[in-house]
Amino acid sequence: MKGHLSSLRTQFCSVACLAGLLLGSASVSAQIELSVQLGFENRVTPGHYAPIQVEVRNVRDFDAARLRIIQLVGNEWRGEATIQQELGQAIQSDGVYKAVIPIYDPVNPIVIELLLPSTGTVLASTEIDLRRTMRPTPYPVLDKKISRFDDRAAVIDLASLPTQWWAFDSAQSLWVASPLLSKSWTAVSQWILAGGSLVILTGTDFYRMDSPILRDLLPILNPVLAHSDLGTAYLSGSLKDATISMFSDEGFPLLIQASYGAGHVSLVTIQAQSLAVETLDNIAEQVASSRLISLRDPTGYILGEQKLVALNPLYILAMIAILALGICACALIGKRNARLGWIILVIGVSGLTVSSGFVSNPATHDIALYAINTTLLLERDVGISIVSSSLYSQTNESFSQPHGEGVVPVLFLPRALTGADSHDLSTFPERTEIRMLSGKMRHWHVYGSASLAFDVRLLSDSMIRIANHYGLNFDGGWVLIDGMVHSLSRIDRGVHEYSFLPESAVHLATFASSTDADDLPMPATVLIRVLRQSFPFEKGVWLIAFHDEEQILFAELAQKVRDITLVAVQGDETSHEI
Amino acid sequence: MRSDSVFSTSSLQVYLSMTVLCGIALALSIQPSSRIAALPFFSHWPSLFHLAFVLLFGMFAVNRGAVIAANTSARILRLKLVFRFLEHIAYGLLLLLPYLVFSRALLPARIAGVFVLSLYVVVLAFFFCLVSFRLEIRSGRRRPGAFLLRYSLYATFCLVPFGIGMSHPSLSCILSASPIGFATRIIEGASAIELFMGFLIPSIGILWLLTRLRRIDGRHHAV
Repeated sequence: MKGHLSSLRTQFCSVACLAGLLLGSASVSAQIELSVQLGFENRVTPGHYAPIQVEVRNVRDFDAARLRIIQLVGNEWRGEATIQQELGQAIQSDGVYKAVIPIYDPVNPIVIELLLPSTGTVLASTEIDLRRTMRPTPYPVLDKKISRFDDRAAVIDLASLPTQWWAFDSAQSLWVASPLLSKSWTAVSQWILAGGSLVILTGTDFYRMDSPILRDLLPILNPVLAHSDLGTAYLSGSLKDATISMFSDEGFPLLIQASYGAGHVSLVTIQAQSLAVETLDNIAEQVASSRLISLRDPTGYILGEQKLVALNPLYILAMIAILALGICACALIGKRNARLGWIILVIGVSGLTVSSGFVSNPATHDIALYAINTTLLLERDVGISIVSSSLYSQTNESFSQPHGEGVVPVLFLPRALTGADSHDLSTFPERTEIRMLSGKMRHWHVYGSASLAFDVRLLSDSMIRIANHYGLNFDGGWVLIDGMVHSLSRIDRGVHEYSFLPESAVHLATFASSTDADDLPMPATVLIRVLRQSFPFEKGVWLIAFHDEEQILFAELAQKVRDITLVAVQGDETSHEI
Repeated sequence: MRSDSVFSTSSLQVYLSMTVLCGIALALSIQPSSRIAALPFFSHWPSLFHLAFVLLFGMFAVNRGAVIAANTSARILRLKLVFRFLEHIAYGLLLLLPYLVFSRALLPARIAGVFVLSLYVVVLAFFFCLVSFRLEIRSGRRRPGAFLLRYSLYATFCLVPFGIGMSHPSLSCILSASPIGFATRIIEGASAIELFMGFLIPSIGILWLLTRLRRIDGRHHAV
């Protein structure tokens, strides 16, 4: 009997253990898991964009959830700010979700949450620590076929390359030695157009990598594989507008460089595997670092030059004078007839009050926020947009700024975050909520892709056809042909032909110095001067178009918004076709 | 013509001073029409006018109370005295009405606050008219002493609760008992407790002083 009881007890215990294990595993399987990869090989740079990849597992059936990233900036000494970014992607099933987000201060842990926006319920959360892998400055990003010649470099599989060009913001240079997907090539060429630096390692690998976008990027025309006397295969061709920066030991050009938009393309004529680490290191020294165009400074300058909408102090002086005279007149009359004195006073003051009400109408004078939005559209074979915004607040109330869906703006933060002014920021799919003190400024920028909206064809030395599909009539434009500037008074929507006098063209240097004069609007002057530093306007054909629009918006707060649009389209210098 | 009439020469000086000083405060309150980059650090103080309005009107009330006391017989009816005070307050407020309407543009989010502030100023002015009147009546021939006393009392009323309220966050509700604190809180958005605190002392003071006034009248009648 005792033995039977003991065996029953043993059976019961084993069943209970099994049930416990099953229940435990069931509860584990029900938990949502987030696996996060940030930056290239977890390398991130403060103040730059970085790609983020979140793998979501064990998602149950619920309404669309969203990813929220919480970044703490600063410390007790510097002051602190909390930056929250809610990504636009709706997450309803297991899978990998990709986005590009700005990184502010990776010294602090970054929290990634999956939440239901309707209720604010956090379904899952994870924290990543990037203190060991963060880089204070941009770093090289290498194809896994290339030996790691720099300790700072990130080595990646190019198959997982992001398709949003601003994901390469923290890359000092991108080294490619393998074929890329068409989407990736587009993103890379957009990045170079904005100021990126691409290094292409070809040699015998060229034909595997060959694509129309690559041919456009290459600094040589009609590329063919050639062999040196010692039998080394290298890529050869006629130089476009490029310079040979380095020769191999065997005498053929090893490194050829050319500019593309605001960026640079460097061609290494032999395959990656043939290069020793020392040679790669030497090549890296010759390669230009990426430097993306930023319109933050000119936009801030234009905001600084903005005149405030203010009440007229002369009206107050007039009011004081009228009231003083009125008091004296009423006193004179009132001494003889008090009732008449009162009547005159009431009538006079009523008239003055009504006119005071009209003059000081808050609807026209109360501007809580001044905003300058500078949109730069760059076109070559691909199109990009760079939007810089500068804000000046005259209120302590919080406000929201709209922006494109799926993009997260980068806010420029000062070194010191102490004091009463808050630098907290909450970004939602189509807007960013900002709180700042009256009298303070904020600057942010956002990158994006743009569809090709211009088609420009030079018909003769004095005639140009411009197809403007951007949906905006431009206030003015300039056609630059090999450094000679031809002015256009206006560029309308649709397809139009414009004539200009070749003899009235001015040289770019003269034009740039004349931008100090009054014949150009100030924002155009400032922006063209900045663009000149990044683009080789002296070579080839360029179209620059300019539009400036100012309006007062009465949303949650009255805002005076100035939208400045500048378009720069680079043409083909050989055919004069864009 | 009585010298305490709103149309008298002495009143003319007071009204002119108040109008000009409030006008200057209003002119200093407005945003200068300059470039954003050229704005000085302390370019303007939008609430300066409202603060000046409350303080100057309080001082004006102290002055009016004393002038009325100097020109009033001891047998004056309390109701008539009240009307005389209100006549001065209404005249002063009427003169500043164009400024008050203009000041909406300075604090657009607090337009109701401008109205509440005007109401507070009426109550405060009436209270200080009564205080000043009573001090002047009681002082008799000691005029210089009474002058110092009534203005010191006004300064104390403005500064002491403000100082106490600023000394510790837990005492911040006392801040609005001072005219300076009340004006500041109204501009920033006062709570119901702060509004109550602001009106409490002048209102109780008015009731108490009006009661005392009847007793004085009663004593005069008895004599």
